Amino acid sequence: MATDADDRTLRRARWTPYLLSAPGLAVIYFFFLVPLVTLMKIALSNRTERGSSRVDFAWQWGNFSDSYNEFSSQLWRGLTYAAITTVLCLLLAYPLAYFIAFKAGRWRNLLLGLVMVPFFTSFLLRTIAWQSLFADNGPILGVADALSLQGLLDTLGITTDGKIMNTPTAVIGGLTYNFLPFALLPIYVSLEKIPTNLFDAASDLYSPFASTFRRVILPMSLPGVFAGTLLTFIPASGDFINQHLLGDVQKPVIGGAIQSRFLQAGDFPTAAAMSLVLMLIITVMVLVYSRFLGTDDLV
Amino acid sequence: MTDPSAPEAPGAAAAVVLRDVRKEFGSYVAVEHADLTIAKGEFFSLLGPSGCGKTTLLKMIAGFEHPTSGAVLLEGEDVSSVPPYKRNVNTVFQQYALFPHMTIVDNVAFGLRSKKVPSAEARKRAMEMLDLVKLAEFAGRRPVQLSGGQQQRVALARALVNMPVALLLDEPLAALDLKLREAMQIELKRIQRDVGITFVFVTHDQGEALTMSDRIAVMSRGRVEQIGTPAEIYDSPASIFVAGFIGSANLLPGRVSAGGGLDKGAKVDLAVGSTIDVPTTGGVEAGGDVTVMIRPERLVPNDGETVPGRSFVGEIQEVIYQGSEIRLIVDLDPETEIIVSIDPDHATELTRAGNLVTLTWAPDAPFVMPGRSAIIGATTTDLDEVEATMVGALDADDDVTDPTDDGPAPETLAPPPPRISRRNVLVGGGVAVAGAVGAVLLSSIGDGGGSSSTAGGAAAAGEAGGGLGQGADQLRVINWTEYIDVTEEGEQGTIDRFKADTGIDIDYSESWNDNNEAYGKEFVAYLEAGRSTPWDIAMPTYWLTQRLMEREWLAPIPYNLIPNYANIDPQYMNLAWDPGGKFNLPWQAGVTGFAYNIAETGRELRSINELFDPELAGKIGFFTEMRDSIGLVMLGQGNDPANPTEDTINEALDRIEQANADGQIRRFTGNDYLQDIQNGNFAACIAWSGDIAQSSNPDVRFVFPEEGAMSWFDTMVIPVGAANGVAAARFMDYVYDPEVAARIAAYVQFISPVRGVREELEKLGGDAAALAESPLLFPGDEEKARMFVFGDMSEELDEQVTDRFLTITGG
Repeated sequence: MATDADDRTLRRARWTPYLLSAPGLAVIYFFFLVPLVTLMKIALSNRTERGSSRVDFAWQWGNFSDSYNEFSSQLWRGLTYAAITTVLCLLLAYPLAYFIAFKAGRWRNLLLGLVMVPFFTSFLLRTIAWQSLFADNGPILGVADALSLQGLLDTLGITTDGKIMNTPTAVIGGLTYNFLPFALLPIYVSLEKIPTNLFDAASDLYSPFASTFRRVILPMSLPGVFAGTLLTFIPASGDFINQHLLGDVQKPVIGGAIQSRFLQAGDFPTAAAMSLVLMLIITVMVLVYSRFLGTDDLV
Repeated sequence: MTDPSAPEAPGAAAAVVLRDVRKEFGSYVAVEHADLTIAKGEFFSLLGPSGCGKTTLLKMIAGFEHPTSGAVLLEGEDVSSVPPYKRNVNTVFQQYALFPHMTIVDNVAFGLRSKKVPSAEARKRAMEMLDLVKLAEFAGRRPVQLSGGQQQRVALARALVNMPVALLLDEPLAALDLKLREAMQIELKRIQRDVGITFVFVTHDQGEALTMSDRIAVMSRGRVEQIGTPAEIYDSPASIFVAGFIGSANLLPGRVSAGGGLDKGAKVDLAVGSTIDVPTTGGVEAGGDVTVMIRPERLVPNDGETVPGRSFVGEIQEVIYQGSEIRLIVDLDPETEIIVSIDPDHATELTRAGNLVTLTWAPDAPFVMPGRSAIIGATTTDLDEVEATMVGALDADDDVTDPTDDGPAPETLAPPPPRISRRNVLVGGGVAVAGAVGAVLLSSIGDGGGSSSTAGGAAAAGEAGGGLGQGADQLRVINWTEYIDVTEEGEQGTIDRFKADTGIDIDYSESWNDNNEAYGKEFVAYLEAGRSTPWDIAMPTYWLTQRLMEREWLAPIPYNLIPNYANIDPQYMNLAWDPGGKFNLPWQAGVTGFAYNIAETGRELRSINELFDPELAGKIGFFTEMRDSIGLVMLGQGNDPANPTEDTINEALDRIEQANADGQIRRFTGNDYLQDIQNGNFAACIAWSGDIAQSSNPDVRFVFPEEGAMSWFDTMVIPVGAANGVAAARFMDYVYDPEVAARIAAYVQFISPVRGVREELEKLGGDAAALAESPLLFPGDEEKARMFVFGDMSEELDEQVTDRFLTITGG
């Protein structure tokens, strides 16, 4: 026969899962849901006074199309830079991660450390440092000059009139440098998890390295590639520091447009609408991408 | 050792032949003198303790290791240096090594697909093989969904489907439970018979080897000790090691008795004291050291009837019941224990612990081996001895890997920290915190909801803070970075001296990065939400001060508490927007002109319009600070920036826009222009006087343009509702002391609004005294006449101009 105490215990047990999930739900509510709804509200508002945070909520759906029409070139340029950056990061990070995971032996932790060390300094300072490296009198062009490569580099579109600074090349270079670890670490983790006896097994089953890479290593590291490309592409899409510090004024990107609308022009509705448009486009791209990579199968 | 017992398959080469194979890892010899011939269709085991070299031997057959010397032959062909994927052998790995991302059938078909067998055909053969291992129904699953035993069979099918010359199995059953292992032993044997493929089976489990093998090679310390059928190895071990390793044995050291023959009639005097008859002496002459082995099951206990030369007497120490047999541990003397294995049916009163027992044996039971065994008595009763047997040597099988010692580690790029100088600071730095600002803005907007007048906001702030608090012990100041002298080389900075002199606890923050950003972050977010700001003093640039004043967000400066106010440069008393300076006290002023790098231009520049010289195309920097950029261009166009109109502003914007479109302007910068002008990205750029005065590059020069320069000043203001009004006044009074102001000016090198600074600088002497002569710190009347403060714009015009400027600068 159940006593009152048993009853209480039972009731408490019933509530326990909800109590335990409460902090998580609170975080989701306050840090994801509330800001998103607020952003949505602002995006649908009329602009009032310049520089004021006050806006008139008015179901202004037109803000979305207006902001898209006004800033579509910045938007697609930002996404293009991000896409190229992602590909470059992948091409650099994968072999590096592979080397560290399988070939570095006892140097492994040291190499990982070296990849991370620059990131103990500020993102901004690192980007500004690239101004010197890309500078007209800087070392990169100095080497190109010494090797008489400038004509070739111009032809390839890597330099513009013999310059790197303030060209898309500089922006993509800066982005690639800054986001490389975000591509490298997930790929490294996924590669490092592959038991090396699988390499032996594949080799034993008549598969030369290239074929083993294609059939075993690459598919098994896809979750890392997926995570790495997302961690690169998404922040790179909205980044404007690299464009601001290294880029060409005449080729602005969406991140810069959003920030100047927000902070310089105080035009909150447009900035909010653009943020949401960018968010929507990225979300759609990620969904298509994850479907294409079929990663839920792998994780 | 050669292998005379290898059965010869007629008309075909043996499946696997090893010829005097040796393998070294550094100085460690893992395998030496390995000679093996494994016939087609044979089940051959490599048996030995861990570290004996058996796995290394297997890896050399598979191709994962290559012999240091000697040769590996597969079907008569030397494959010593052929890589694994070109050898027609397959391995079943100890940890299965199934591909986790593939289905079972794809795993099995892997090798066939490598050999370009068409997909449908490969699949069909894989399914047949799965049938053979009784796993066809699991074909579509992934390895993780299978049990250990099932995975093992998949690994077997994956190897067998390729019909290799030899199947190599590396301790494949080691990870399985005992029951499963026994079942798998039988299963393996069945499969091997069915497919008729040569199996090379590596194990350390002698029971397993005896059960399954046609022949066994026993290895120890890198050498093959004996090759033979299970019976040969069990009954006639070639060495003491083999005798001790295979099964249980009683090893009894002794000497061949004098007078006996080598074979018939030979006797051995045992160390335990008795002399026994042996069938042969193993080739040892009389007097030579030998070890006699008698298997436990060959000893028969009885109750006292001794047979000369064929019996021992000892005391039963322990009786161990093992189901199918009973083991007796018998003491022959205190040093020597032997074990006896009897059928449980034969257990009698006699076989009880503590009884004396006589043990007899058949004449052929003793087996004599040359040499003296280290182990005396039973091989399975002393833990240390057993361990010594099981661990042959260094554990080479597991530990030895390819010693890849790599080249030097690549150097990382440690970016040199660029110089961060005072004022207006990294625009980027400002925007980097945009996220945080946005969050604060959002939170305040969330509360506000609808529209509200600015006066309402100010009123709310007024209620919250009561206009101006009277706090006198604490002070919170927000300023631009590097905009006050700091404590260095033992010299106290102004903040520290203020603290020491007044006892006021000052919290000084350098987080004012950008006017627009700080406006949102430090004012709008608080005051529109009806709260007071966290600051008692802030340092906005004049035009923002004007905006703050218009929104009624500034408290009047309590001049009654600031006697040094008398030192203010009178020109600041005549501001159109704040007559009498009721709401602001100037902090520092400066000149915006331009700078050029003579190494890039090759000539001196004087006029603002030279910034548009096509010779310098792509080498010009402008400011994101709108009033500076537009104002200077207006001066170049002969317009008056102090009285801007829509037309004159747009004329300037047209020019900037055109220059930008033409590629004349390289970049719009904040304070980060110093990098560009110093490293040659800019030939010339708009610049603030003080920055260039401090530049380390002598090629970089500041120009006070012949058409005139823009002038600006930053102000000290007290936000409405600030708690520590009295302390704020003390601070303002303190920095308006000419001596203090001179120290600040010597550090920041801008124009001080405090009269008497020049004289104080001269008193300080040295570098500071030199500054007293600088026209950039102390512009003369002639310069002053050519310095312009950007004039007032209507709010509407301001907004319109801001938007257009942002569009041009890439916003």
